[in-house]
Parts: sequence; structure tokens; C-alpha cells
Amino acid sequence: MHLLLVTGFLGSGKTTLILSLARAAHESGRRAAIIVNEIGEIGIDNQLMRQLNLDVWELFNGCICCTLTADLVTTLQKLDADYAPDLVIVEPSGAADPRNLLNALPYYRGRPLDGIRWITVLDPLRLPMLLEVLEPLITAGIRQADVLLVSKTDLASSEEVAAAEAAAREINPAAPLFTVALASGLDAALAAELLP
Amino acid sequence: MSNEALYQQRYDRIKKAINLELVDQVPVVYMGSAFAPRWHGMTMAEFCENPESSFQVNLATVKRLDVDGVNLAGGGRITPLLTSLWMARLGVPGRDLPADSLWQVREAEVMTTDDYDAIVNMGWSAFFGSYLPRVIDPQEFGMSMGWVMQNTPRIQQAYREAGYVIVCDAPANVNIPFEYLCGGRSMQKFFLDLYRIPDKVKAAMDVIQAEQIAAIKAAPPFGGIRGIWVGGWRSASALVAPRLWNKFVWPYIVEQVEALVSVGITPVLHWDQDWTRDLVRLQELPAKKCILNPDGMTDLRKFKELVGDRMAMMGDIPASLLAAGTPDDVYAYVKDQVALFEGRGLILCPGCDAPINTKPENMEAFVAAAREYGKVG
Repeated sequence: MHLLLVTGFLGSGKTTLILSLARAAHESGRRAAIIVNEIGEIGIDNQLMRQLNLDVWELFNGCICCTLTADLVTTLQKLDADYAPDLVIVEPSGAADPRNLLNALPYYRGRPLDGIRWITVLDPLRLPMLLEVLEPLITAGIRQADVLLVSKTDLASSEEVAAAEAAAREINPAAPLFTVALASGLDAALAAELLP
Repeated sequence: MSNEALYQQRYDRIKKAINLELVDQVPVVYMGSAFAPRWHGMTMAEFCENPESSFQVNLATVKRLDVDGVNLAGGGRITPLLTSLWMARLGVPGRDLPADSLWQVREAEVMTTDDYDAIVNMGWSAFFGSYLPRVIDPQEFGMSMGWVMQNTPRIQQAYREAGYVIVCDAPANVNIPFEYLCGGRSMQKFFLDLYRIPDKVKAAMDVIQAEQIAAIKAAPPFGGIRGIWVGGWRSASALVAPRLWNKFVWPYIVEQVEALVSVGITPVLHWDQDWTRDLVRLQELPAKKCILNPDGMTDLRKFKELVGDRMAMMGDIPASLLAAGTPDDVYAYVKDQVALFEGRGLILCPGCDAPINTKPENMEAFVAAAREYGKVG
């Protein structure tokens, strides 16, 4: 079972990416599941997902993220036992330090994970502002990433996209970086690059 | 030993820990709102709707674990309480969610930018009253808070008669303005506000703060540990850029802590997420008067190194460990914590909140390990 973590601040395009990746995984014959924070809020249609042979699980935060990470681990274990997916796509809370997840994963007791891939989605329209106000959170997400994705290239100017790329590369020069306009769909070749 | 003698022994133990004196036994307290009903087969709907059930099941949990006390006593309805802390709508089990589901804080923009001006013009209390209908039925809210005010003396007496200490026994919570506004505006909108209209946000914060400080200074005298939560979750160092944290978070914490200490109340810094970057700032707070109450993310070795001679720590068994670890994992964690603190300034407690899916065997292992490794003198 592969784990794909998709992080990024609220409104950066994570949900659109997750749905695109889930569809791509399904089309390539993989059994995929999605774990999100709150289905209603982000507008994932659970019935549609089930038609696509995807299972969507919701995490309950109670009030804060410590509870969320506890729920993530037990949800992963339940998914592993009941559904045995090839791929689990997780959208952690955009309102929490993503390192919470790394601290929780050692307690996972299901089948050994085949790998964990971390994708961080960056919104070039808001990245300068977010770095100004949420620098520790945004920097941690970029630094931890295995893959960086600058989204909304259809909405941002080329200067804004270039600035986002430069800012991300400065923090994490090793991670592959892609640019994408998610609203017009995820290119099959890029989906293949992003999926583990 | 009588329950009153047990209470006194446990009270002294916790007071010594706060004062950083050597204890005979590291005190251990319970904290876990949703775990208690789940452990006792009570639905979350019953727990959330019936304030008496909430109190009884928390007390039953403390008795069953036979710890020294409890961080928060419980009792009353938790969802209106969370609404008041978060200024947000909640999904309530049995109404909006399945009867045995955990409640859910809804992350949504309810406050508008105009509300910053409204807070300044109306004052915080008046604004809060006018705001409530957007997030909860005001009559329901009033009845819930009324129940708490009316029954708090009975709840405190019941714990004492059973021999258990309530650490946060002050009849209120304190929140820095940052958290109220972040909850009401939603995180995304609020941080945009800090960038675009910082002066407007700060003006509202100052009005909220002034009213809170006045309320603190007018607090009636009461006995016990006299602890009170000073909450912080989205104001954490792991999230907020230092420049903003120094302007919108820390000064408000300091002012609230100093006001609380001036009236003999013990601030319990209930801080979720990672605050390691700014632990050094705790040196600015009055020594031996506060408790840090972290959730497992803040670096305790750094805490011990920087302020271990000034402040006690209550925590910080991680929620994920309690939910997904094994009893052996819990034993190892508790053993490390006790070794780090060497019998001073430590109150063992679940970090933040033992989650709904805490394994009972892990909770029992937590208490057993605390008793086994926590013997000092």
C-alpha cells in the first residue's frame, strides 16, 4: 500500500488535484482510497467516488489536529484491513503543521507501507502573502515535500509563477517541481509522474 | 485513608509540582472528553446533549482510572463550549452527524471583515451576543452556560468528595483574541486579514483583550488549584510568522497571564501544535505560577532546558500514541518523561485530549506506568 500525502494551504487546489489523481489511479487499474478532513466542506461526492471504485474516508477533528492525527492512523489501519487499497491519498488538514502526520505514522500497525510520497501544492497567487504570515507552516510543507506543484498557472501571471518556483526551489532545491493549471485537468503524463 | 485525606495528598502533590518542588509521586491527571463516554458505552449524542451525563461519565472515568485528578472536570454540554471558544458552528452528534460520531468544528467564514469594526464599536460582549445566532441557537447556548454556572459548585464538590483534584477549576476559560477571531473568520480568511488589514484586526483584538482583562481582575475568589486554560492552537509558533506572532499573539498571552497571576489564578497554557520556536519567551512569565500544557508536538527537552527551573509541564502523551500505539509504547513514553523531569515540575496527562479512539488498554497503561515510574520519594 502506497501513501500519497497532498498538502498545501487551504484553497491551493489540493482537492482538485486529489480527485484528478484518484481518477488516474482508477484508470490505471489501481484500488485507491481517499482520506480527507471533512467531505462536506470540500465537496467530494462520496457516491461518485464509490462509482469510481474509490473509497472516501472522513477524519473527524473534534476540535483540533492532535485528534486528527490519531484518527488518521486508525483510519489507515481500518482501510488496510477492510479494503486493502493499493494507494491511499491523504489530504491532511491545511490548518495544521504537516509534521503532525509524520509523528503519528510510526504508530501505524497495518501492512508495511510500500512508500510515502509527499506532494505540496503551492498557489502562486498567494504564496508571497502566505510566506509573510504563515512562514513556518508553508516552509515546512515545502521542505518536507518529495514533489512540488505550483498550481493555478492559468490564473497567475508568468512572473507570479516564476516567483513561486524560485521561492520553492530556494527552500527545497532537491524536489522535482511541476507547474500546472488544475482547472483544465491533469495531464496523463504528469499524473503518472505524481503517482507512486 | 479517607477521601478527604486522599484529596489533600493529591492536592499537595499537584501544588508541589507547580511549585517545582520534589514530589513523592509524579501526579497523574486525566484529560479526554470523548474517550470517557466511548469507554463507558455512552453515545456521543447523549454525551453532547445531556450535561449531567457528561459530568457523570467524566467523574466515573476518573474514579475508574483512579488518577490524582483531572485537567478539566467536564460537565455541561461540550459543543456550546467549543462554539464559544471557536466562534464557529459545530456539527453535533445525533443532529448533524451520526449519534456516535465525534462532534466536528466547521471550518467556515462566519465573521466578516465588517465585524472587526462592530467589535470596536459595540464592545466584545455585546458583539458576541449579537454574533451568537450565526453559530448556535442563543437560547440553547444560554441554557448550556447557565447549567454550567449553576452546577459548577456541585461538580467540584463531587470530585472532592471522591478524593480527586480538578486542576482547571476556575469557572471560565480564557482565550487570546487571535483564537476567537481565527475561528470566526476561518483560518484562511483570518491570515489574509493579518496581511491586508492588520490595523483593523489589532483594533478588534485590543477591545476583546481589554474586556477579558477586566473580567479576570473581577474574578471572584475560589479555592482549589485555581487553574484556568489560556488556549492556543492556531496561534502556534509552528504556524505563525515570527513578526506577526510577536505582534498579535505573544503580547496578549503575557498580559492575560500577568492578570491571572495577579489575582492568584494559575494560567494553564493549553497549547496545541508545536511551540518550540518560542519556548524561550516563557522566561518572561512569572516563575512557578504557570503550567505549560502541550499536546506532544512541542520539544520538551528544549522546554526543560530553557524554562525547566521556572514552569511546570502538564502533558503530553500524544493523542496518536493513545489511539494507535501499544501499552509498551505508552510505558516507554511515560518512562522517558519521568526521567527527563526527575521528579520536579511534571504532571502526567494526555496531551491536548485523549481522543475518542484511545485504546482503553493504552489509557490504563498510561496510569500504571505513571504510578510505576513516577515514584520519587
